[in-house]
Amino acid sequence: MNTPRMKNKALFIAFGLSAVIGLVVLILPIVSKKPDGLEKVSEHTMGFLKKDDFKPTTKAPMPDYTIPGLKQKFDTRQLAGIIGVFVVFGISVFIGYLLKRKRRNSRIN
Amino acid sequence: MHIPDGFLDTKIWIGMGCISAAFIFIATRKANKTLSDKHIPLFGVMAAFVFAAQMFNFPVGGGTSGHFMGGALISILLGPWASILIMTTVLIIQCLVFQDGGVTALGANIFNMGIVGGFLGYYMNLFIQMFTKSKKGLFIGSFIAGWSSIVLSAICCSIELGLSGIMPLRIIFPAMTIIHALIGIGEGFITVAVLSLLTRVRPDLLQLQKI
Repeated sequence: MNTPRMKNKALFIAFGLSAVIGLVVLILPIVSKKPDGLEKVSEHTMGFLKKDDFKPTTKAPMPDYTIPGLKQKFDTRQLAGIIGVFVVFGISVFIGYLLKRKRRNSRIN
Repeated sequence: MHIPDGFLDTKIWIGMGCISAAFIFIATRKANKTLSDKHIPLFGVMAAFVFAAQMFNFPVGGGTSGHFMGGALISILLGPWASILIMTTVLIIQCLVFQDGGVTALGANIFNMGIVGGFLGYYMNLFIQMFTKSKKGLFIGSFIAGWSSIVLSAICCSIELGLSGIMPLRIIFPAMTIIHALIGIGEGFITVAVLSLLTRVRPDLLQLQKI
């Protein structure tokens, strides 16, 4: 690492992501599988309509946090969640770099 | 609270899409002025945390569960416009990769969770802190910010659904509001927990210029 500041950032990212992934591994097995607020309310109020009648407009690679093709050796939600954590991290950092203010003369921030 | 495709009337989802697009555009301009290298690690880690935390449903009684939303937490740390950008990123990935929330409903979902959640969370926290002393103030403010952001988001969500005609407003408005008043307690606690952790390990991150 070039500077202490970069080391700090890398450490923060490493710890932060590890903590998040740790949460995914530890907490996912014990989360509630009950329907969430919106799902519950729509179950009750839509009566004749069933949720499956609504077809999503796009095809997703990991619908509902499952991984098609992976045998249920362990909870696919955990793997899907971990993949998602990295994807979200990567894309948001990328967007951050795209959007950040450009300095005319590059100085160390 | 992720609305799937097909729940919203065409006029509503197009309208919400336009409103959200406008806010996102403004948010990118604001970020362009203020976002620096210092913000980026927090940007990424908070986005990752919010994504993960949204998977952790907790029961709130009545056979229902809720999950953390994150708009208030992110806006308290990084500012409301940053919250819009981060929540949008998370929501789009959830939608396209995991089919969590409909593509057409993105505008409404971004509005409810990113824009309303972010702005209300940010300003509610500031407002509460005007009346409280420094350290306790952040925790009281962020708890109330977290709680109220969930409730207002749920209210907006139920109005969109009610106006779409698919569910009667007189039923879903109270139902969503009451359920999310309970979920909001969880949001408040998690918001405070993350902030108190950061206050202890990296207090400098709380001093970043807000976007």
